[in-house]
Parts: sequence; structure tokens; C-alpha cells
Amino acid sequence: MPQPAVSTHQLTKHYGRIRALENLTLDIPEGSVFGILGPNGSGKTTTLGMLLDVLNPTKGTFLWFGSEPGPENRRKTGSLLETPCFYPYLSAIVNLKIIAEIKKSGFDRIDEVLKTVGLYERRNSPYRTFSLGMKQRLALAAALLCDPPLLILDEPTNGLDPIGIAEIRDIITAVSRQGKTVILASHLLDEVQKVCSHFCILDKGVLVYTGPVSDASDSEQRVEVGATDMELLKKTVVTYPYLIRYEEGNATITATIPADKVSEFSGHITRKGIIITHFVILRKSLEKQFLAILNDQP
Amino acid sequence: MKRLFAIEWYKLKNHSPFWIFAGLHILILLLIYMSAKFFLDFLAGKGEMINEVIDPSVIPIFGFPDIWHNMTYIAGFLKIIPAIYVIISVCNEISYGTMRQNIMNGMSRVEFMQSKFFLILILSLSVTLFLLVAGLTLGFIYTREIEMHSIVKYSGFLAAYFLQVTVYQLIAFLLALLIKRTGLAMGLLILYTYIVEPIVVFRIKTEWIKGLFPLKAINNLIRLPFGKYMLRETQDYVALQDLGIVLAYAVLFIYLIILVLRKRDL
Repeated sequence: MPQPAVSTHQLTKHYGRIRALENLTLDIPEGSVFGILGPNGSGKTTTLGMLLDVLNPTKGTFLWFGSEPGPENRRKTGSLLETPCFYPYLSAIVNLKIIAEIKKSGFDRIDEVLKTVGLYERRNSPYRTFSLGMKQRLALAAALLCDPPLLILDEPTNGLDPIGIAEIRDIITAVSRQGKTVILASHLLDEVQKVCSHFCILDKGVLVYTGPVSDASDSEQRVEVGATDMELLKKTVVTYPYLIRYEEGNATITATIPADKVSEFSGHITRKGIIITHFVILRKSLEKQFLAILNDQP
Repeated sequence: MKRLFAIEWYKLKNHSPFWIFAGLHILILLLIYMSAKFFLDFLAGKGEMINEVIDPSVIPIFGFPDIWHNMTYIAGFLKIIPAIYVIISVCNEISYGTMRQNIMNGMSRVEFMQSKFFLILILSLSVTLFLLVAGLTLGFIYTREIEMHSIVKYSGFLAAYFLQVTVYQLIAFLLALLIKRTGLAMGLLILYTYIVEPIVVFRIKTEWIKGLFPLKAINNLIRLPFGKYMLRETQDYVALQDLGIVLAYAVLFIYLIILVLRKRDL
């Protein structure tokens, strides 16, 4: 089994009586785009803050590529946590020079990353003159500066226009295609679904789900069926051996069945001599999955 | 080390308040030194009271070797200026979120502290260097007979002055880390320096206990030099005991700064 890029063991953070994160044990596979999902205040930023040594864990440990965490690891990580933070009186270039010095990475990539995020023309303007979207772009440039094997992004699309959001998505995809690991915290499910290969869900500081994105959306399938004889249809659906659950709609029944049983399911119905008037495979979105997982919580 | 210095220098050289503070500091020092001579000449022209004791215009305050003691003592009154700049710099790092960002980018917390020590070092060294140049200039102008040993004598006060401003800036650094707000930290430093400690020290009768308070200890490194011109006994050297107390304070402040930086959630 390949070594995880980051693995945490019972990572816990309490702020006085507030339990921001509780016993998080998680492996983030190397080369994955790992989404951390959760409603506001679920512990996403707290987790990343501890990984980046700006928060001291109350309890627990974590490893980077199998070794103890330290400044060397952070130098090889591009990170963007919450709002972008730069020296407002310094230009984009000087701000990036400071970061390059911190990361011991040399200045030769500065122009390149500024072009990547579309700020090259404004490279000599002071940071304070930037719009929110430009600030976010500069933060992304800083994260990409040392060509890091690991990228940690917390709500990277905050404050960006639709074009910017699409560009971020392209950058993440390009980075992960080079075999690099990306950790992406977000409350936007759509964002995670589009780019992530793995995800976990945090709720009130507790890990409630972790797994590959495909598992979550493919293991179950919802099918909407309608027929001329609804009574018989219902009887047939209820007796279907692989049925997970069903809901009765107005003129349809929505059945949740294993994803690989869809055609067998339709065969099961037609064999009973029922004439199907309506058969729709509902695309299962991560959002429904997300809400379902959260609703299953006690 | 060079890396941390480079990082701090990038922040410093483009920060206009730094140049304003540096310019102000040097301007005020120049004004004081230039006006002191006029003031003495002015005294000489006034009343016989003073003239009976001594003719003020012949007091060698700017002659070697006295100049080092006199200059550094006067300069000690302005140590609040670099200290305030340290507060501005550290509080800005906190309010801009750049301290946190620097650490996320791969500085260790101790390295952050070291980069600020470089700031303190830059400020202390440059003002000490200014005193050296100004002292040599004034000394050569005002000394009647120049001898090598008299130039060097008392120049140890420059080192004492360097230590004085450095340790005072350490206090400012610690205060800025604890208070986090520029205005409040500045206010507290000024309040403590000019009101709280002087009152407390004034009420204490025993001399050696007075010397245990941080500011008193720092100031004791360079004691009032002018008494000797009125034939009073004057301590014209840095006492080992005073030096020991100040160094102990320096270690304590550095330890507390590390402690705060280590323990804090940024």
C-alpha cells in the first residue's frame, strides 16, 4: 500500500469547552485530490491549521509522507488558508520574493506563477490596491510558487468570479495530473465533486465519512418508476430482493437500489407483466449523498 | 541566517514608516547635540551664579573622552523611538496575518522570532553607528588637544548604549506579541516607561531594589554624567552588577517571547 501523503492519528482540538475537532484519524492518499467537506464550523480549517502548525493540537499526532511534521515539510507545501495574507504596502513581486526566501526556493518561478494566475501585468502594484479576487489569485500564486508536491487549499474559490472559479479548477486538475496531492477544504459540494478523487465529511468536529468520490456516488442508485398499475408496481418494488429503500411519489415510486442492479431491476418489474410508463435513473449528486450522510447522524 | 535577514530587509526597506522613524530619530539627536553647545554658551552669558562655580562654555561635554558618556546618556532618552517601530512591525505582522502566513509557508516559530531579532539588531546597530560617527565628528571639532587614548576611553558607553536600546526593544517585542494591537501596546509601553515605573521606583528607598526594575536597570547602564562638572562624584563606567541585571532581563524577555510564540494558536 502506498504511503499516505498526510495521515492523522486522533487529532483533537478543543477551544476551552468548544470541541472543534474530535479524534480525527485520517489517511490522505498520495496523488489524490482530497476534499474535506463539512458545514461551516465543522472543523475543516482547524484541521488544516494544525497540519500547518499555526494551531497547537490538544491531542493527537500527524505525519507528512511518513515523517514527523516540521518547517521543511511546510516549505514543500503550497497552502492557502482562509483569507489571503500579504504585506499590503509591498508589491506582488516583493511579497512573492519574501515567500520564496522562506521556502528557500529561488526567484526563478515568480514570473511563471504570476502569469499562471493572470497577475503578471500588475506585478509591481502594491498588494493593497488589489481586488478580493486578485488577492485570492496572488495567494494561489504563492501556493504554487515552489512547485510543491502537496497543495493545501481552504475555500480557494472564495471571492472569485465564475471565470476565476473555473481557472482554479483547471489549475487543481493540472496539478493533480502531475501526480501531486491536493487537499481541498470546501463547503461547496459541487466544487469538490468536480475535481476530487477522494473526500471526507466532517460534522461538528467529528469525521462522519471518508472514501473515494466514485464510491459515494456509484454504490447506490435512485430510480424513478411509473406504471399504469401503480398498486402492482408498488407490490413488485417492495418485494425486490436488493431494494435498499423506496419513497412513494405522486404518480411514481422512487426506489434506491445497488448501482449495478438497474437493468436487472427493470427486468424484475417487466417480468411481472407491468407496463412501465416512466423510468428515470436519477443522477445521484454528492450533495444528496452529503445530506443523506449528515441526516443519518444521530 | 542570511535568509532571515533578507526576509526582514524586504519588509523594512519598502516600509515608509521605517524611514520616517529613522529620519526623525536622527534629526532629533542632531538637534539636541547642536543645540547643547548653544545652550551652554547661553548659560555662560547669563547671571553670575553659575559663572562663579564654573564657566559653562569651557565644560568639555563634547570633548574626548567625556563625549561618549554624555552623548549616549542623552541618546538614551530617545530609545522609545525604535521601540515604537518594533511594536508597529510586530503588531502589523499579527494584524495582516502575515506572521501566521510566514509560519504556514515554512518558517519555524523560532525563525520568526529570529527575523524580528534582526529587525532589532538593524535598529540598534544603525543608531549606535550614528552615535559613533557623530561622536567622532563632534569630538574632533571640540577637543583642544587630541590624544589617542582619550578618544578610546569611555567608548565602552557605545556598547552599553547598544545593549540599552536592544533590551528596551525586546520589551517592546514582548509587549506587542502579548497585546497584539499597535495603539494599545504603544500606550502601555509609554505609560510604563514614563509613569508607572518611575513612580514605583521613586517610592522605593533602597537603591539596590530600585536597580532591579527593568527600566531602571537598563538606564543604570549609563548613569547621569553631568555631575562631575559640578564636582560631584559620578560613576563614569558600566558597573558589572548593572550589566548582569540587564543581561538577565534580556535572557528572561527572550525566553518569554519564545514561550508566547510556541504556545500560541495563531
